[in-house]
Amino acid sequence: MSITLRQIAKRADGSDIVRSRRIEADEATIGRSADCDIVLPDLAVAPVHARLRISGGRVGIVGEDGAKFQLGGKQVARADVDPAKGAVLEMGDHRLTFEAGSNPGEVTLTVTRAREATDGVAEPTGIFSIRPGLFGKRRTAWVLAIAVLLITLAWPIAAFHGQRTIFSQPDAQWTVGHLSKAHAFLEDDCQACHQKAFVAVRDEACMTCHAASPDQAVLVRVSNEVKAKGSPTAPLFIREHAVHARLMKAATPPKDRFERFKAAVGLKFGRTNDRCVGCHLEHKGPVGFAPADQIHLPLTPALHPTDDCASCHGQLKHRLPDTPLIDTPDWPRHPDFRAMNPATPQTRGLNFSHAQHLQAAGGVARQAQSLARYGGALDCADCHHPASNGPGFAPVRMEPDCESCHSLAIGDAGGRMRLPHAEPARVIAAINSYYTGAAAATPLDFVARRRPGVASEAERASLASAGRGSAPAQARRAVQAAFSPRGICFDCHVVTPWPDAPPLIGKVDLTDKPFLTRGRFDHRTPGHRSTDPGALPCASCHAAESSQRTADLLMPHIAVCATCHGKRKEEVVQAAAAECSTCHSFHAPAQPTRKPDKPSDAIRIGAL
Amino acid sequence: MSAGGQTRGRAKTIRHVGFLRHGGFRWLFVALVLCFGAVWGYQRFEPDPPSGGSWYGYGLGTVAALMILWLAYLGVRKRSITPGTWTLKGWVSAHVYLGMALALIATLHTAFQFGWNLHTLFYGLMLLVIASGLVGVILYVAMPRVLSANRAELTERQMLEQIEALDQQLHEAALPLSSEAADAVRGSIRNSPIGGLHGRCGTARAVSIIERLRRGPVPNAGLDAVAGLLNKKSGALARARRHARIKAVLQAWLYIHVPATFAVLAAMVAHIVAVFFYA
Repeated sequence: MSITLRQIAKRADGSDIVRSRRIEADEATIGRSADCDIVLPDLAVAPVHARLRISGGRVGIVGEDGAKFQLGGKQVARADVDPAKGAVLEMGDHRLTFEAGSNPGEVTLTVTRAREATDGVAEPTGIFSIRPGLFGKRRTAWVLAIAVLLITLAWPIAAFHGQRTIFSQPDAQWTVGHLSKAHAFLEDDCQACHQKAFVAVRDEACMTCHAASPDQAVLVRVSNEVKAKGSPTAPLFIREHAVHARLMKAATPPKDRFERFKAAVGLKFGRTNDRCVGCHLEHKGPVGFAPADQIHLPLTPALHPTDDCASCHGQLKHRLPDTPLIDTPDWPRHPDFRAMNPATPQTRGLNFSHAQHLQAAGGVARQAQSLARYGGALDCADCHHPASNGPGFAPVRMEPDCESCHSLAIGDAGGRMRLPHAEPARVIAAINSYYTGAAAATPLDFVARRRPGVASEAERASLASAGRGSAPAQARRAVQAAFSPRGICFDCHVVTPWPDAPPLIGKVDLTDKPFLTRGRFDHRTPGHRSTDPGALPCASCHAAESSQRTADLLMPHIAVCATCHGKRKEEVVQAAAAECSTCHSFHAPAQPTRKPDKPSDAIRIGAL
Repeated sequence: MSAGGQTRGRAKTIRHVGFLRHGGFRWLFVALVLCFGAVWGYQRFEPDPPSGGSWYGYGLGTVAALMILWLAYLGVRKRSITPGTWTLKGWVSAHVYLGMALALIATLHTAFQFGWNLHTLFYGLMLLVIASGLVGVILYVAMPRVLSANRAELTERQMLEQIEALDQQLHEAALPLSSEAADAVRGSIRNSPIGGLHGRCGTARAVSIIERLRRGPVPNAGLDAVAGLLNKKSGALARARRHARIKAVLQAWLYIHVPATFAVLAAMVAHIVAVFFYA
């Protein structure tokens, strides 16, 4: 009985050294201790780890003091193996292979190191570098980049193209600032203004709500729709300042090469200054991390005019030679007022003298003194009454304003009638019916007043003629008297010569159309009201006391405005601003510019 | 250029010049000029209220975008070391100073409008990259001295070989010892990692076990030898671990700097597209 022990070790160069030895015994000890028959230089092995015994061609291995070893992947404390079939044991880092020897009953035991005693020298870079595992730079970089692109770019674009089912408003993360209060209700609806991808906001978007349709019903509908969506006010309906082509021609050209370059780039990208958003800038609310309802937002979009008024109107004639407007570089050089409406009549079809009516003494004054309604010489307010709804005065009308002196009565002691203040044909018919008795004498319900002097003469003529001849002849003479000089109509109206044809009354045109189309004086404004304490009397603006002709417009000189406007509080108590916008708004030049803190609910198209 | 005496080639001793001092602070000067110019222009040209959408804002944005692309290109550029005017060191020097200038230029481009949106995310990511880069610069200035002091002229391989040699000696020395001592030494050999996260070090355990065994009544020369070896190994391990830690600190900022750079590039694309999408 013997064991052939083959111990295999590795050289430094990797080749094997085999040391063979015979152990002539049936029993042998295996262990780390040098005293053992089979020495395993292995710290994982006990000094005496196991004993093996050969009997009947089989090998029995028993762990010393219960020490364990591996057989077929299992930890065992004892084993009985048939070397003829070959068996492999593992003990610590060593592998023990049993085979049948060359002679019967002999066993060959090959001992190899399965694992080196030490781990060897690893590659330093693997040891001294960060081993990030899942969070490697490259992987993290790509994951982050793709996540950013998906969330901040792909998602909003998908939503824009109709995939709105995935959550909502991913494009809110693109906002660059809150909208003004006026537009805050659109904050969740980017596409209300940004209608096309990569196309700058165009006026069509603004005009959806702000277009000044001439149809009042359309305006009311739009107002209601906008308010239903959450707008705090009805939209302000606006019109172009002037025809676009003329506006562009009148605007100052780019000052220098750089301005031209900017304009060209703007044009290239559709970001021209002539768009609404060229001046009205949105998303300028104070941005921040607080929610919109916790910060103070501006009421309206920020206004950044690309040009000021003077840049166009200072030299308008230069660029727009056919303009009726006079160049106005600044307030001191503002032209005096003149009628801008071509329809302003030159004659008004009436013979009226403001001077005569306003004389402190004289016929008119005496007549007025005799009437309780006036009680003294006439003043402006006796005939001119503020309009119930508007910046000016109600039109002067014959019956309420003139008839108390200018009587329409005809007749004699037997009866009187009040002629209608109407077309000549109706007046003639009324006179005829009076004299032919076709109509009963109308009870006099008017104040039967005659103008002193001339009026009584006309009446005398009328009565004298009426007393003679037949009724038709009387009527004819009365008609003739009424439309003749000193007659009841002739004195005020311009009557064309007759009797060859029926009398024609010249068209009376006390126009209520504004003749100042580019600006309007609001008599209601505090400081403009002549009734206000300290306000200027009518006469300080309107030279009515010296006006002889009906056609006189009685427009004030702008110097009167300058007594307050453009002055400082230290100079004049009623000092007021003299900005262009004080009297003219850009989109409605005939109106003062609306104050941003006073949003108007009114649909103001009528006033434009 | 910086070292002087270039005509005689490399025969002359070339003093080391760090990337910060490169070219006599040439890029610091360029960055300062850029910053002052940008601030001057902002005060001169930026309308009120300021915005990234004014012509000057667009200008700043374009400059900032080009700077970001160029700064990010260092990741490609650093992989090829070339001589000449545009040395890698010069490139790094410019990268550092222009990167810091970018923080100011981009801030002016924001016109100080921040909110919960993509644009501020982009800005925040960019600042994160710049801040991590700044940490990197500080580390690169401060840490090499600490690193070489710790290294004591050893290379990394030598450090590992030293430990391996001690392991082999320990193995030999422990073979005659008791199972407890042998197990402890085996723990030291098998379980004394240098880097990474690990529990109690096998060597530390072995030191305490061997010390306990040495306090026994019978003196044991074998135990004394092992204890000596373990002490040496503890020292070597401590040095290697310190080395690994310093190197990790030197590398760690890049694990923010590089991935955040990619996020910045993505956010920049999104920012530019978004701004022109809803023009």
